Amino acid sequence: MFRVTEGLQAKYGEERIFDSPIAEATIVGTAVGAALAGLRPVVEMQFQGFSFPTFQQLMVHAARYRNRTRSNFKVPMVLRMPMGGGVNALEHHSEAIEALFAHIPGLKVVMPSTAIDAKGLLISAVRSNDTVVYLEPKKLYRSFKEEVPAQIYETPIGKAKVVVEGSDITIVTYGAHVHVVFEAMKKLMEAGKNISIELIDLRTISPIDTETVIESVKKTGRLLVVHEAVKSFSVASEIIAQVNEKAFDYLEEAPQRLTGYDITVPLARGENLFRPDADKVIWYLETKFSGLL
Amino acid sequence: MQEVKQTYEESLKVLQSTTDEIFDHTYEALTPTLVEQKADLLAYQS
Repeated sequence: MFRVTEGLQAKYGEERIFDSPIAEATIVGTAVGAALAGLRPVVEMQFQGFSFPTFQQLMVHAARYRNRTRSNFKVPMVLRMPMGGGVNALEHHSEAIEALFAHIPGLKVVMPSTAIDAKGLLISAVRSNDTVVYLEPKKLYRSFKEEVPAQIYETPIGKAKVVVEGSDITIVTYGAHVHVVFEAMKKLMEAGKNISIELIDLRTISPIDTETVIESVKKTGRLLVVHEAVKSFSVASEIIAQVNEKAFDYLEEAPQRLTGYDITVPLARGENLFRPDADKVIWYLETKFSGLL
Repeated sequence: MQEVKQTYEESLKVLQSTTDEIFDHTYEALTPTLVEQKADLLAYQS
């Protein structure tokens, strides 16, 4: 769909790279079997909103085969798919359901925000002996270009990145919203606002790099989590729960979530109301925290 | 193709959703959480 596998079949042949019928459960079920047989299958799903039929295979088999067989079998499979909105798409094309995958023990979930991490995380995912759900923010496909090292390298799964260091507040986000928050920071700087933001790109949704987040919050005393997925029972909720458990005494104000709302993802024309943008990040910093701006 | 794309993009400008439209059709009535979230969006818009 987004040409992310363009040229692979010509390069590696029809036995390794092939199209399948559009039957998501069958695709993933076949990949689970291939992984159990000793291969390392990489499945590309066209849109996250069409991944719901795969949950049977993911939850019942991929995520628990290791436990079921007392680690005698593994499912080293990568399930990659475009996620999220921002491109004015139709129904089922703008979902952000990373929390659903992250809620399944046995799956790892990653989401790159840069081309460098897209390559590094994909290599790590392919080399992982656990099933990895690899989510690609479709908003970023055509957003920017970045030089990528030619050599093989890994971006470690489970390790967040401090994109910008700061001292007044920690903003944790991932995927396309790393760029949204960065845009907000640029706007604040251009407006002469004196605020020092520590920006953390989570990179891995599950397992969350709690250590990096906690260390940052201990320094700043404030936390805002930003993502486009719905608010309740979300990644933001999990991060704030962890901070409350492990760094409560360091908090100067209540942590906040800037997210999508608990509604069905609006169609294209309502998308601008649903997804957090740079101006809304600034509004949250102004109104939800005292004395920051 | 360009004409189709242009017409689609124009339609998005004309047919902007309202806050009511995106909030009021997920459940029969707004849940307590959604009452808060809708108020949050309206406050942002004001």
